Amino acid sequence: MSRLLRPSTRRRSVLLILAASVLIALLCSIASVSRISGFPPKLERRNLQTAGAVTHVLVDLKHSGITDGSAQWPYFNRVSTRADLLAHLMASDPGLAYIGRRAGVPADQIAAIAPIGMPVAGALTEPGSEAEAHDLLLARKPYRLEVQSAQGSPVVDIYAQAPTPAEAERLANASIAGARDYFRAVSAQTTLPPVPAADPNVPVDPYASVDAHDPIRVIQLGTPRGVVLTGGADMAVAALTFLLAFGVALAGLLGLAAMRRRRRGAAAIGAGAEPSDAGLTPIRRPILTAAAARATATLPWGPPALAPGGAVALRPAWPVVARSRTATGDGDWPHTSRVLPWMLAGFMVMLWLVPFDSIKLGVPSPIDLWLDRLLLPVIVGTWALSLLVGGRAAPRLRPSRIAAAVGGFVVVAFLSVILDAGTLSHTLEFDTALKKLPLMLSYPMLFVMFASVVRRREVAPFMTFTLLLALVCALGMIWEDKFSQNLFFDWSDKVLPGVFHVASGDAGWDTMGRRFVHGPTSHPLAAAGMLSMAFPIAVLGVIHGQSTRQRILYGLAGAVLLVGVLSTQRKTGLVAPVAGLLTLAYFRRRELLRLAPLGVLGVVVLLIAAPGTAAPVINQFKPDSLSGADTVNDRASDYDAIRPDFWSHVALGRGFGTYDPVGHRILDSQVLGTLIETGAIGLVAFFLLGITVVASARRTIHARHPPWALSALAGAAAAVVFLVLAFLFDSLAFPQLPYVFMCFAGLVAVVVRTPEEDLRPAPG
Amino acid sequence: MELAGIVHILWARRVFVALGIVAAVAAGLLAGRVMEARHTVATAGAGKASMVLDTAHSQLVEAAPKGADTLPMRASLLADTLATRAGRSAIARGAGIHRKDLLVLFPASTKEPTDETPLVKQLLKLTSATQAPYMVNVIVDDLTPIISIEAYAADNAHVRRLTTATISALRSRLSAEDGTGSGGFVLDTAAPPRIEKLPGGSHTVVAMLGAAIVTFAFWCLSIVFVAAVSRRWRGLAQEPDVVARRRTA
Repeated sequence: MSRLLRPSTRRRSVLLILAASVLIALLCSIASVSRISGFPPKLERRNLQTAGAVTHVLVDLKHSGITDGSAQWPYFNRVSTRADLLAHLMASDPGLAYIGRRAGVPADQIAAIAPIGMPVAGALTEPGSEAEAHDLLLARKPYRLEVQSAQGSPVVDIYAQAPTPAEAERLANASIAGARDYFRAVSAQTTLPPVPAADPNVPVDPYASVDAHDPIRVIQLGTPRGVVLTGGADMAVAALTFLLAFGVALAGLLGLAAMRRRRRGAAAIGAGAEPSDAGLTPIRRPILTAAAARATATLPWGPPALAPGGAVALRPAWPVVARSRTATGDGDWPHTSRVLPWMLAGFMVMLWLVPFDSIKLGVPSPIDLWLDRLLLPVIVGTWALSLLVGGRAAPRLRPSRIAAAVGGFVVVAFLSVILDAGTLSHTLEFDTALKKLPLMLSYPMLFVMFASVVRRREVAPFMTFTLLLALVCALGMIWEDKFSQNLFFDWSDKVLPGVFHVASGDAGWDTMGRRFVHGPTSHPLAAAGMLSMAFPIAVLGVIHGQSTRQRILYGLAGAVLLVGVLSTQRKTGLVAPVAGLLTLAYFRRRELLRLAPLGVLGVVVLLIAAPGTAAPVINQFKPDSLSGADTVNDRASDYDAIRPDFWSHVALGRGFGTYDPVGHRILDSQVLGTLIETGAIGLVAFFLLGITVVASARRTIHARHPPWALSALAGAAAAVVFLVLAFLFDSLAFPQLPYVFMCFAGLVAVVVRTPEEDLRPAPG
Repeated sequence: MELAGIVHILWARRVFVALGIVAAVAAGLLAGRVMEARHTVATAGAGKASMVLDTAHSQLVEAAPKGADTLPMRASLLADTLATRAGRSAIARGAGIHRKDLLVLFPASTKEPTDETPLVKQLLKLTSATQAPYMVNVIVDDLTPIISIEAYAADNAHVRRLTTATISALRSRLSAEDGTGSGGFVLDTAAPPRIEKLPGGSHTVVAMLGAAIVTFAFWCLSIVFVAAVSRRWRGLAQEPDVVARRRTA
């Protein structure tokens, strides 16, 4: 015990950092749920509570016909129409004046809406910029009434929102009393023409005439019970803030401490202390040509490293590194006994071949237990334990620019929710954000695991494995296109035990007459995006294949992937692979030019062999098809419609995960979605995810060392494809795409690191 | 490979792991007791009955009686009227309970909303979980004129009284909602009042097993966590202190 408590400089600094991080996090979390005023200085608790109550009214005539045999459909239609009218009048300015008076609230403090009660096409109800701006104005009011009527029903539902349950109950009751007042006032001002004398030969319809003094009976059903709608919101905000602030502070302080230690270490060596490995300046990114790499391979020691002060040290050459790794006994994937790389490979199989976002565990739980949400925690748990235990096979966490970008996006996403928590709590969207934030964390977690578990020599096998999985996926999609059978869904349903519910995959054609080929995903766009990200691996295999046989095999794989992408019959199926090819062309111009004749020949063969696959996609790019396509026009109109939302939350948006297409527009663009939810800063952070992958990979790509340069280039191309997809549709709505991107990003983060970083012993 | 390290830590502390087994068994037994206690409390059944709204000349006999096509709509609205002040008063009076202690769930309150806004979703979620000492759930589908009644109370005597009172209230609403007193419809009993045992089901074994497994897993995780952290802590003291070394030099 005394040994445990013995003070040391490192222990002291770690304790200090922990204490400072906790203190910063505590201060931030207190500030997030408090209002600080300057004169006099005061700390007040922010009120994030909002309450609601629901009530219903039955609209009837003075003589009820509910159980009167003489009242037929005209009677029910009449009362239903009046119910619809009542709902809209209650939400009108004159109606609100009466309601406000009854509730004791100024009418201009009540936001009232009455949606259209009849079913209409979704596109017609999508709000434009004016409607969005109006909704934003209404969202600021402290009281809210939502009055809903349904077609063919004389019952109106009234949903009231107010700061407290008692006020919500009062508002719900007042809405009915106010509506009655309004109708009484209208009937008092109305003079009805005298009813003509009844013809004794014609039966009297008691429901044909209206009693001016009692035109409509508004009967309240049930008593409204006020409930707190945002219970524990302040605690959740404080907890979120604490976690974020603690994480950022800890990472920042640890980083600062490491920098300080490195600087002191360098100074110590400069002052004449004994040279040691800790004092060497690492070569951050070695630039080696293939020839140079071969030369070094014959040396028992690597190129000399220059230490500060002029000291020269020799480090083991890379082949020696490899031998030492083999000597450890755990080997490199796939020839390894390490569990984590195999778990990651298993997760990749699920990503590419199993419709995991359509498979749910049939057990009641607060969140939907999709298959990935069951598997990922197991992998993360094993990873965390392994990290804690340490040892040779343990994951190694290393800082990188890609990791910083991923972390930056996470921070921005959390900040967007925390800083807008007051509004989100009032608009009842805070819960949605609170659910989506942990789910979003699964993507960075996958990146962290790939970047820390996979070793540099394992990146190339993982890239080949990705290509194989994409190939199987593409073959399945071609089968689906030709035989209208989705093997991924069918086999998942057969293989998985009954406790899992496999949703039936959509089939048939869309409104534009395109077949719905979606492979293991829930939408053809997601399938096309996945295959497009893997396509550059096949092209690189053709360029750099070591034998003709290998090149032919890679060429065939590329062709199958292309046919698979085109079988989705989406424009994305042509745009995304081209984006990948352009990235390759940027870095490997000469090689691609040499391949150009072969590529043209391949396309011609493809058009002849499978005319039904390529032609429908190419036809969609004809000018008349583009201008007339609903998908294009709708996407174009989205840019105008989001202006009010964007300008009202420019910097950090309305909050990550809070834009629900229900009640808003369906945005077919991840860029627009990210801009609305996380603002301009969030969009920059999102772009940085892809940009840092390309930027980090650049040097390694230019070094042209065969296995690493190719993997880096394949990862960079995948990153560009991922960014392009974000402009084409809401790519984060399909979990496969961010997962696959994070796999590539993790592999690039590994491949661009220096070999000596791999050698550095793991702590513990 | 990585798992071997974890197993090694646990084996080195096998006494603590054995204690974890004891804790897991205790947690399982405790969970079993709690489940048994809950099951005993919820033994009161649910009162059930079904009524069918029919035309005065039954549609089962007459080919096309007047108003037969509107029967499902009428049944739904009639069931809704049980939630009016008059309807609730009638039920409470018949059952001999206070009106404020009674909660009536009616067809309009349980149907899908027209527009699922965040306010609507949240309110429906919270109000559906609302409890009251006495509850009546009146269910009608949109296709048949059958009104199903479910009554819940703390004991079987109250359940029986509440079910009967609801049926009587429904019959009284039938004439009250006939604006012209035409008497065109009748309410027949489709299923007489009965008390059904609530499908509580004995999940005791599952709960016991679950509690034991979760407890043991967390116990082992804690052992690994504490061991790993203490090893790191010791390691911090052994790391070369560059500053101290410089001073010595």
